[in-house]
Amino acid sequence: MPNDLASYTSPLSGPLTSESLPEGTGLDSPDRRDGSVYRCPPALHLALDVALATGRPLLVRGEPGTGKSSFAAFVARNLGWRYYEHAVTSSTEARDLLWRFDAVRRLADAQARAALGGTPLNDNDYIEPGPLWWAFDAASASRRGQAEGVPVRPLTEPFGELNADRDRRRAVVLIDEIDKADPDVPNALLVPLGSLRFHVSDLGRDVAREQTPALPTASAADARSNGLLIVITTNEERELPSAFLRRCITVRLDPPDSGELVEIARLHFTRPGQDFDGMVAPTAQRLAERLKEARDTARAAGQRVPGTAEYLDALRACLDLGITPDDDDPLWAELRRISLAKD
Amino acid sequence: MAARGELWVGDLLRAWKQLADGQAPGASALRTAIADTLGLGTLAAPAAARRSSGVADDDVDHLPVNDTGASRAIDEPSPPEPQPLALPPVSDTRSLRPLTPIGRSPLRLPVEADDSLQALPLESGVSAEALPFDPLIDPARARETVGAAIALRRAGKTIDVARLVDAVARGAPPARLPYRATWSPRAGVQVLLDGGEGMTPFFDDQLWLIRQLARNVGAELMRVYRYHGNPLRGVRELPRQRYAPPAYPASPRPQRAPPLLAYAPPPPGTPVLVLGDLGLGRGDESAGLPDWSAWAQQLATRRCPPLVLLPWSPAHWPKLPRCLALAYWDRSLGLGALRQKRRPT
Repeated sequence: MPNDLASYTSPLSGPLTSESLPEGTGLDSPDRRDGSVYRCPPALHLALDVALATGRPLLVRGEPGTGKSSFAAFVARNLGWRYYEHAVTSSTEARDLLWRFDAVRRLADAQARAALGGTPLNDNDYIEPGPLWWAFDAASASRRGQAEGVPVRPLTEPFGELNADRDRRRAVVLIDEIDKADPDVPNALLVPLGSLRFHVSDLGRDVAREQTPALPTASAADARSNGLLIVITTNEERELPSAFLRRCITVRLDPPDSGELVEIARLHFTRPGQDFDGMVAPTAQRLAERLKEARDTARAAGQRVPGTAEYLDALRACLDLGITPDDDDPLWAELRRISLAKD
Repeated sequence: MAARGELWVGDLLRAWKQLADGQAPGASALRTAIADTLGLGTLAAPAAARRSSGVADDDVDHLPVNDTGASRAIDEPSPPEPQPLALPPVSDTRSLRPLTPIGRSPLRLPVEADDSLQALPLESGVSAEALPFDPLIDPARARETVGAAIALRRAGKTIDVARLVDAVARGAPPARLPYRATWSPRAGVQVLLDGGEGMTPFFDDQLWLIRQLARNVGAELMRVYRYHGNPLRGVRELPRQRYAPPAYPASPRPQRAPPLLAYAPPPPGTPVLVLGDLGLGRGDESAGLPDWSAWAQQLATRRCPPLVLLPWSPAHWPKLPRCLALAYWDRSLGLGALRQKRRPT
């Protein structure tokens, strides 16, 4: 990262801040989806702003455990935008991100209707909108693509509780670990991501992102962007197609160094009235050094490299169980094996 | 809204205007950082400055070509060095048009020999340079070709309505729902590299192909072994660092040779890809044929379809069991031929 970026002040997304966890909070998941805790490096903040300014998807690259997946929820909370996500697997098809059609259920209903009689079937009842549909047009997605006023089978919005108080016309979508998908999937997403529009063949209608009107109290991000941010992550297990890469803003998240790890620990472990520097920081600092050793060892052996998530798990275990991350502590070797090396 | 194309100078100007305007102190550095983020750094910094950025020539093969993350293909031609463009002021956007690519980074060709072979020493005073590497598979079609070499036809998630209607129309109640089949590499692959003398001229091609596989399919889905003669005589696993994409700092190569293992077929349903000559290169192919038949039978019982890419034309191919598919590994190898070989019989 260039030194000049260290003092980068965002004119678009503003300062991105973490929330203090309330007193008495117990287990704090290191992979939070409420976006309350995150440490955003300046280069990542700049890449976010460039993606917002240009309306391009933001592709976040990096090793597992560097915080790629948590970033989108953090941005959504800071901007007050809705949040949707899709965790890609080897069986993911591009259409899963747009919609799914429950043909089996429709077939069963059709047979029951033929035997028992009843009202004609409505194809919209068998539509399950995907995260991009929710992001492009939440109102249409909540009606399964049905026109207003026509009854349709009720549908629960993904992350409904999280999104309850957020603007329905603005959204952040996380497409997590796209490199897990078949090689054709990224290319199949070029048109929906480029045109912000797709055709629902099961209904014979289009879903399109409308230009979002500026709010009277709009922030810079609200006013200057389209109200949509698509964050895509990759562990780079396989190379993505060039055509896809050329349409994305890309940024690499490097593993945090020891000092950055302690700062991350500060965000996760600081509670009101708790002395982080006195009670947690020494263990966090020592553990950060041990993590670096473990990472170097794993790299040399060609094994999986522990990341920030493992660091936070190990730190929590050290604090709760009273283990010191030093070879003098007989429990440390076992904790290291089960939380960092995992061999 | 029309579909948007690739990143271009318009994106750069939009980002500059929104992010760098009004930030007088450090605005120049910020503009450079924004251009780098967009992969358009050459528009913001003279080429000479980029050349002096401390990146050694030897490192070039391990770095992405630009910040868009697109690694340079191993086989790309080396056109002239890109030159910086003089841009008009940001406020004057009326004269701007999409740019045409003006060049790519220079070519670096890794040529790596097999572990077990040592190059002969050169005579003193003689200098030599590695010849340009020209892979057996057309580099322009590498992604689709290597993908097709291991892809199997599998049921997708979409119901095949035509087949379903056809069955119902015939009065045959469907015992199971038919799904549309798609080609997918998600079953992974076991790759077997022939380390015999006859394959010596093709060692670079073997390495190139498995690296292409790792880049396009994912090293996590691959297991690569080297054998001599026939896999049933034992195999040695190739360390993943030899073919995985260099996304992260490279691990040192293991000092000891991997142990010789008894051959074990992959999990049921996993395709097997052999890059070898079945002994044709040594002229004693008939001696090993029973072994190959036994090997193919072993795979057939586990429904692991094998495919041999053979750098010898079909006129030389021996007669083998039908379950052992052979394909001619040269520039004519394409998607159609591979799909035909991989189609279930």
